[in-house]
Amino acid sequence: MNNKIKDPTVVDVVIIGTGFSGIGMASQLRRQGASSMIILERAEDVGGTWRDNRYPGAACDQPSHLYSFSFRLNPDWPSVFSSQPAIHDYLRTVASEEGLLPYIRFNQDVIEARWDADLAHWVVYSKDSIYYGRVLVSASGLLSDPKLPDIKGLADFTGALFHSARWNDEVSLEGKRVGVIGTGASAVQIVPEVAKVARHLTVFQRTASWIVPRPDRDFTDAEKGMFRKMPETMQELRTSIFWENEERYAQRAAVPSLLAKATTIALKHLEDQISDPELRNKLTPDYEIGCKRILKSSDFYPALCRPNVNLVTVGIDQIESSALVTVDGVRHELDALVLSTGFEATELPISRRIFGKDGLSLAKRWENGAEGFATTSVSGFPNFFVLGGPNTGIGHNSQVYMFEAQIQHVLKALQHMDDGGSSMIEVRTASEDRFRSSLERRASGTVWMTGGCTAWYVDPRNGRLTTLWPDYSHLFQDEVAPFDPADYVFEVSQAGAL
Amino acid sequence: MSIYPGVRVDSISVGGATVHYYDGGESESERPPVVLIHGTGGKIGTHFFTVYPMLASRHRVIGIDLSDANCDSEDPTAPLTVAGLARQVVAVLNQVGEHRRFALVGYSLGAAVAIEVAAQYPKLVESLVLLNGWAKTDNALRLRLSLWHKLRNSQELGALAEFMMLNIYSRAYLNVRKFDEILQLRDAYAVGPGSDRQMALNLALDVSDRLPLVKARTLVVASKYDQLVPDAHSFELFGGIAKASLADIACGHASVTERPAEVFRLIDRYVRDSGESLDKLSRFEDPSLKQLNAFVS
Repeated sequence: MNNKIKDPTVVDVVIIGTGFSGIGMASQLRRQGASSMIILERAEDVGGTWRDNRYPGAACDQPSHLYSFSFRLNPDWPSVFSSQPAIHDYLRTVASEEGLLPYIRFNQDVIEARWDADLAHWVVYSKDSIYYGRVLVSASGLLSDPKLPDIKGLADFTGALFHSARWNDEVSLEGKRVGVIGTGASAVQIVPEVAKVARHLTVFQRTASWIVPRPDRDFTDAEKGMFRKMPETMQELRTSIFWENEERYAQRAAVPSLLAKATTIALKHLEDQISDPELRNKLTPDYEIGCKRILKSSDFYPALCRPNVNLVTVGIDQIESSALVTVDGVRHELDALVLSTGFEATELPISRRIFGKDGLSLAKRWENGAEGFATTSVSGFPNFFVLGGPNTGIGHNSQVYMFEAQIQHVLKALQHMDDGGSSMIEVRTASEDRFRSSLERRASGTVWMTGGCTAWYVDPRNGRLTTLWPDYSHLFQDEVAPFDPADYVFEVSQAGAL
Repeated sequence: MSIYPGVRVDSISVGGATVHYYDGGESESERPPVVLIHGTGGKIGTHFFTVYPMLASRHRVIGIDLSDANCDSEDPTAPLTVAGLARQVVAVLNQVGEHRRFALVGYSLGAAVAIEVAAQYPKLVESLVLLNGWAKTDNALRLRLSLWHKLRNSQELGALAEFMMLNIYSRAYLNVRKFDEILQLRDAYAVGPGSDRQMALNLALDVSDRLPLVKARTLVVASKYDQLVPDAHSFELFGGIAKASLADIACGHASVTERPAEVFRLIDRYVRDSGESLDKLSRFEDPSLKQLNAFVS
């Protein structure tokens, strides 16, 4: 380390990330009266995913009254499925009103976090600072690092080029010839917006997505007033959205009668919105519904029907200066190219930077598949909790719900440490084994393992379902939120007194 | 298409009635099988289209399609009785597992049938779940059923459909759909099998004297926005059954189709519990949505 390093900061808890999970964790610690805490944020603002994904049309496909904290219901959501600016504002407001800003260190990308057994502390390095934390909570997100496609000549493209999660506002797409690679969750939101302004838009599709309607609407002022004056109406709406989502899980758990119902809804949506049989054919997926993320959109299909938009399903061969060339030899001349190609998902991005006992990296620990006891703690990594890591992804319900279950587990663990005066906590491997078997048993029957598609849900290195929670969300709360000290080993020593 | 992979479809004759049932799913332990009894105009494949597979992923589930033949009379077209429908259920239970005890789930009219089984055949019943049930038809319900009969006899199927949609769905359920979809639902409406004879039974239904005889622990589930059988009927079931707990869902009478996951959750949690902790609780609240709201570690 160089001489620009400032004096080390010593705290009880170091949290990495200020997205939903990090802000949720820190808010709860503050509410419990904790003040020895630092939250490290690599950017200049809070918000995680909702700070980074600000492409035109960016919105959440979970209704906002559920996709928010249970302890911070918001009567002012502008619409059923709020857009990115509203969600980002919400997170900024929570961070501010929960009193977190004094604890956040911005522009602090974590270069390395290393367990120091002698000190019984984590040592966390950024480019210019060192932080010592008794406990380390990774809240750095799974879908946070853009995945770029491997296309010959991509780097030499002469037009404007950017990933959907790194949108370049300085490039106007008005009147331009624009290409969008991908037809996943981001693309179906981007395409309708870009189609409105571009002279011509070419959408390059590798795999068709299953798409169901997205019944969005603005809340009226009267409804917002009702939510404000009668918060129980907001809670009732939240509850109803949650259980309607849970019904969708059953549609994905490989029950043929329910899969058939979900398929019927999606195909009817396609038929209602696309009349051209050839286009409809191109947009009909060739795998079982639910195997990849089911998308919600009511304006993607209509956008593809516009005269200035065409859908290309022929594979991409290469890029030659200003043209994208498909394998049939057709040159698509483009002024701008948007890579809507998703995120690195097999490996949690932060896992290469976290080193537990004996210098083992989390990435190495997880080379046979990422896993955590109760999805939250990992043997060999004492005093460490990971939020939004392995088996926490949820396709059919609110991700925030999952984070809250994990946060409860962490809070109870920290409380237990405090009660017993423990300096160290580490999960027992027997508990990890039990949890892993339970997950594998459940995953085996699901559409993700049997549905005939390749999705980021499954780790290609070992065929294990490592990103998704393969069951109902309410069971995640049932199983993850409780804390049983018998699952952990504790140490009481003076070594931790820094 | 089968309601659940591997389900066994069988039947049994009871007097002049043939009762079909669906026996499927698996339980990871020796818990009592869950028995589903549908309501008026229903079948297992309609009222429990989603709840059956949800439960079957964790329990052995026996779904019974009630016959609308009177099984106690030489004339199968004689009026239906709750006692007769209960005998159909008991016949199935005796066929699938002698000396076993069951977790009985009854929806709407099926709740009255489940009460009758629990009161008359207590040894068969481990626990009871009563969804959108009622003990005795009151004046408000009689007016609704009387109007049903008038519309039914008028051949105005569209009007009957609109009336039933108002009766069974909550405002919220109707309002998340476009009006075109509502009209499609209306146009697709068909009078359910057995409706006429079951509706005649509903008109004079009274199992109130059975409530004190129910000894099994019982979960009463009320729908807050049930307009056909308002939640106060469930409150009375809760009041009349000794070992009852009460849960509520914010939906209409069609809880099993409006909120199948929430219904599944309540049943699953209630029947999984050994009963000791629940016996003392009168309100059965689901903690799933509390999470960090007012969290205390």
